[in-house]
Amino acid sequence: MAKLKVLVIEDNEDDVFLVKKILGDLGYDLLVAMNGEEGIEKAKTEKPDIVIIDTILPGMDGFQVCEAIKGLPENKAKVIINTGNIDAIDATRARKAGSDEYVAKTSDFQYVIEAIRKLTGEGD
Amino acid sequence: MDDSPFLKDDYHILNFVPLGHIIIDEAFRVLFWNQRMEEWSKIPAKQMVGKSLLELYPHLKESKYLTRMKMMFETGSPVVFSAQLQKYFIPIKTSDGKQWVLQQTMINPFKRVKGRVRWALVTIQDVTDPLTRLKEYRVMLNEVEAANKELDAFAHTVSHDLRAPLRLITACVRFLREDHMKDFSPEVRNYIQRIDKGVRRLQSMIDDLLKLSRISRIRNPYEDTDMVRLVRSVVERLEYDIEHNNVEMVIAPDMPVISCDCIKMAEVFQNLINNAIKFSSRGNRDKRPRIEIGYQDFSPQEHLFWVADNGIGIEEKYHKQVFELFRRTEEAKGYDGTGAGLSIVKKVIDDHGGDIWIESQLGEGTTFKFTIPKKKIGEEHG
Amino acid sequence: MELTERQRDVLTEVFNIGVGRAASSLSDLVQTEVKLQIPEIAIISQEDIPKQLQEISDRSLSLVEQKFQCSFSGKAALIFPTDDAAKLVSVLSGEEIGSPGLDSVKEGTITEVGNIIINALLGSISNFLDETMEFTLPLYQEAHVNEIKPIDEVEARHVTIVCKTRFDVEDLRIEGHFMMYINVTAVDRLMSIIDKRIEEMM
Repeated sequence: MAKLKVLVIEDNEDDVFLVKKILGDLGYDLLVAMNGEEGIEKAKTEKPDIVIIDTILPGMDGFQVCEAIKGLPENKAKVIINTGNIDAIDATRARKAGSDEYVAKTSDFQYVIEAIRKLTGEGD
Repeated sequence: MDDSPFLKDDYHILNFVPLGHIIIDEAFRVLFWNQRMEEWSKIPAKQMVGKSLLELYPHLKESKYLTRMKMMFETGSPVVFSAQLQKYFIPIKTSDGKQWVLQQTMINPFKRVKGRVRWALVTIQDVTDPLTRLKEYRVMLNEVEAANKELDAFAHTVSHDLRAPLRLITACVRFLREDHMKDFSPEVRNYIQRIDKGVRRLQSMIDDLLKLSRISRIRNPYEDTDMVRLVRSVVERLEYDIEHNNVEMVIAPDMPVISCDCIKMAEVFQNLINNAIKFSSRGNRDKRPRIEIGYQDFSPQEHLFWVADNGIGIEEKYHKQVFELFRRTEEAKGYDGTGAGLSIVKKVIDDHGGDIWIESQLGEGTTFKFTIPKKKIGEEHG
Repeated sequence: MELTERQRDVLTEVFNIGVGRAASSLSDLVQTEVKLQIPEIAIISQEDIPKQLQEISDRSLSLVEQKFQCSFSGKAALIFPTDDAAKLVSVLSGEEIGSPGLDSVKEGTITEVGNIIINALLGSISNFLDETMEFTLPLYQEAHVNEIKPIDEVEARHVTIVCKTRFDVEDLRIEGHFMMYINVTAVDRLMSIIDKRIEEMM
């Protein structure tokens, strides 16, 4: 079975370190972009299965990046918006931007992992 | 007019009331000037009688006064001049000289001769204190609210921003514990356990702070809430825990409809009931855990609600501490099964203007009692 | 008791004169334009009063009341839902619309407003009837609509003239209800005078 390709768009170095370790340990093929523009480019060229986007980024915010990626022709990637602060208002924005999931950041990235499993039907 | 009938005994009794009284005729001549008016205006009655009120106080010639007073003499209808819409009827300074005496003035016609109103009684009530106190109070309230908002925003930002570095530490400690402990000496392992414990504690404190600040930030308008329905819906939400612990729930059927923030009030009952479930299910397993939720018409001004359990009870010295967020002793912390729950409960009750306290002894169960002010119709609330 | 269209017109005219005076009085007072209108007049029987009050508000009502006496006696009241009274007072006194209730100072203010309106409307009626009227001092009352007993003297054959009174001041539009509670004979007299005027006009 091919390894799942996961693109992470995250500007915080510590969170990048964590996600590489945790998702890497799970055997995913990881790509990282540290800002929106880079993320959209990589989504275009690498065609990941899953894109995980932080809400707060330099330049474009996570919601705008999500919209852009979802708007790419031939995009098949599922998008998970990952945030340090769950908010009813942001949840609506996430939905409007077309994200497939909107989850809270935790130290073990548990919700992100659950979201990936849900979106890919893994473990069913 | 030395022989004015009013200088004699007829209206003398008006000198003994704390209101200002003036009697005027249709030409707005002063026929009587009571003692209070003398004190206020610093002009003795003898000097006022016979003089025209309009000459003495020319502002009364303005249409907003004169037109209505003239109409009063014509039609006989009484006139009211309120403190908020007029500056004053008679310009009088307060005893400290700093401001005008604010007046609620009523002018009542009396003494008709051949169908025409001849005389009118002016009654002036000093409402300075209530009005200025009200204004000062409103200013103070605004300042306090602004300060509170800032504090809450600060607490929110702080707790939110602290979480990112905390996530990193928590994760790294976990990586060490899961994969590397066998590589370390007992000493290093000890340090790592302690770091772990400290970090968890920090995590829970920050979560509590965030929860508390969220409660403060979000203000819902007050609504008339059926407390029986509210409590029942909260109990429904906790059904799993109630059944799992075989708790007997007793809810008083006579709870009233009260004016409150129903979302926060539901949170109050949820936290108290949750706490009660945890405590009545611990310790003493002989008796079936039992929780009672009741109501008492405490006083004409207040409702009283309580949540009582038959659990292990709380020692008196911790009765105040359990509501504090931080600075609690380990012992006191042990009594709040819901973490920040009791602090949140206290905050919500305080915001409603009520009081909350505990009646309990060790081994004798615990009753949380709280009051909520009754809404007086039309009173400022929420 | 139903008003014919012509009777309604004349009665509205009488009240409009009063309301015009009240509006200019209030405008002068607060140095802002206050517009007053009577968009609706009806005559209702005693049994319908509770329902009418319920329509005004299902919660707390604020009333300013004055009793009057000419060739007949009765009671007049200006009634608002308490929250609206509070808004009106705030706008008139130039304050921000804040709390929904009325404290004792604001009660004084709404009493003045009620007094101005009631005097003007009753004054109009007494002019129209060419009679002198006597009045009691205006009294402020606040109560939940279910607890109100506006009528002390419960005499069966009384009716109430109800006028919707619309206030427009700054951006605020508030409707109060002016109610005149009088006995049936008086109303008959009022109506017959109105009818006479209508004839005179034709």
